[in-house]
Amino acid sequence: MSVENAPVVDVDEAAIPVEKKMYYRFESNDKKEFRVSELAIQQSETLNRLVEAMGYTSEDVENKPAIAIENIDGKTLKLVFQWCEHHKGEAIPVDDGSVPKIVEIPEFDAKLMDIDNGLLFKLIWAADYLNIVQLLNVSCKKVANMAQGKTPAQLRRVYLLPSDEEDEAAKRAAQEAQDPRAREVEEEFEERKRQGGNSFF
Amino acid sequence: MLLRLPYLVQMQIIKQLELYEYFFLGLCSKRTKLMLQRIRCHSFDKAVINTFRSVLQVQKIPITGEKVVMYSAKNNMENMHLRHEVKFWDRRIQLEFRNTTIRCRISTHPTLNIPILWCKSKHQNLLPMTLHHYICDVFHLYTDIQIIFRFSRLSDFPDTMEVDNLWEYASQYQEGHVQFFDKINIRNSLNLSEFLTLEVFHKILSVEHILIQAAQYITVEYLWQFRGCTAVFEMVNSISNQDLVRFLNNWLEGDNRKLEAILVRMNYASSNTFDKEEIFRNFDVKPWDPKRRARRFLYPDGWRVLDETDPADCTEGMDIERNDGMLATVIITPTLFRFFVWHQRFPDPVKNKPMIKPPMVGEQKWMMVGNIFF
Repeated sequence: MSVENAPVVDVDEAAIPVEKKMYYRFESNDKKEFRVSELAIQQSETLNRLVEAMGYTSEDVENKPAIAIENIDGKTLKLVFQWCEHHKGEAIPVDDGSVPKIVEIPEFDAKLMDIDNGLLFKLIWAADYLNIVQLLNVSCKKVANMAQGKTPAQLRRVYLLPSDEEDEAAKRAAQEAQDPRAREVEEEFEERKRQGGNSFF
Repeated sequence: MLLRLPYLVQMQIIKQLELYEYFFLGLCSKRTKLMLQRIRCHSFDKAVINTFRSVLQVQKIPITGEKVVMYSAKNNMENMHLRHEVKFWDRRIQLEFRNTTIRCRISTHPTLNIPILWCKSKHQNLLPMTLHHYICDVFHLYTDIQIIFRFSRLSDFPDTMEVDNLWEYASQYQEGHVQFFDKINIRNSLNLSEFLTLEVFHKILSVEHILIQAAQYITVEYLWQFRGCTAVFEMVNSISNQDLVRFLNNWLEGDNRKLEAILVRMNYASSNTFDKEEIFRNFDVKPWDPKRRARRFLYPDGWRVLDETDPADCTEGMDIERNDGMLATVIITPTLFRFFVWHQRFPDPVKNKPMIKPPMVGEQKWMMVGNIFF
């Protein structure tokens, strides 16, 4: 079933009072400010609840400091809000797990996500943190599509997956950093074993 | 980066992967394999090596498997059209198995959209076993070896002498094919498309579960020499009412404590039919007594048998008892002979419910017993 046919929660525009249609100000962790329409904010469950709880008036929005989003940078937040503005008023898909989800990436989203992998992963983090269901759907689909026609070695590069050897090395380094004496004891134990001893003590 | 994403996001990405992508991701490292096993968005039970299609499948019992990857020797003439139709991926894959390194080029099947792994001809029998090993590992499956093969492609048979479930598919038998079964050890079950002419003491008749789909020439000697647990003989021509009497007498006078079920279905084209009156008059048979056994027989995990009604329902069956107290139920219709031996007279009703085959689109409703099918 396509996303368009999936069960949806309708966004009832008629129920939104005219006087509440305003632009909120948000600030990223690198102090970049964004103005986002109230309708666009509804795509994010997290932000929508936040602004509802704050109960800002139009004056508050202008006079009070911008709402800080401390764990998302400006570059990522710009993409998030571009996406929200483009899709404002659209129904939010509900995933009840009853049908396999088939996600199609619209042209606008494909262009928006034509970015390097690092930024794409930040976008996914942001979509998850801000609970933007459809943005998370399409960005996860984009990441899944990256596996197409890739060997395991290529997948390791695409998804930045350490090999078993790298994982082992990192684990050893972490252990040594935590307790250098433990490593010395382990080496001493190994040396004694090589010399034929069957007991450390 | 993928490993650092939140669990639910990882799950959402993994769910969108094709089966082969999921498999290749699991081959990346121990951590990716653990991630997939933790997320567990696929719940398959076993893998199947289909040498007929040169494909590895993952199977949810008892439904036919889903294709994961194809394999082929690079000089296999039957697959040559696939080799030239689509260009190769720009990288190879390297697999290690039984102290052997197998390097394969990869292309994509033009219609199935799954990868085809092309190996040197010297690895053509080892590669399917290698893929089976890795698929079981990544998909976290039972390691049972299940193979579908044809005698016409016996040279492609995977490099193993041990098979759990073996399905020989639509072959024309030739002299020498029986020798194949001399060499191979079948640990659980065998499904033959046609009956092979073999000695009644051949080890095939010791396989735990056997199904012969076109058993026209099978005789009653094979029935009573069967030393496994369940046997199903379809399209039988050569078994008469008197043969069934001999079979039942043989069971009553013998000490076979392993046999659980035998089903013999008459060939629909045959003019012969079974006559239950004629057979039962030779024995002290008794109708079902609910105090002596359950209504439904607990059919073992043998080959799947389908029928319009529950094949294990023994309400209408007649019981015979051996001197050692072993009870059996015989159910006879003009075209079907069913024989069930009650090793458990009152099996746990929770585990012994009539089963309906998961329906395919447009398919009629089938009741089933057994669960080996792939």
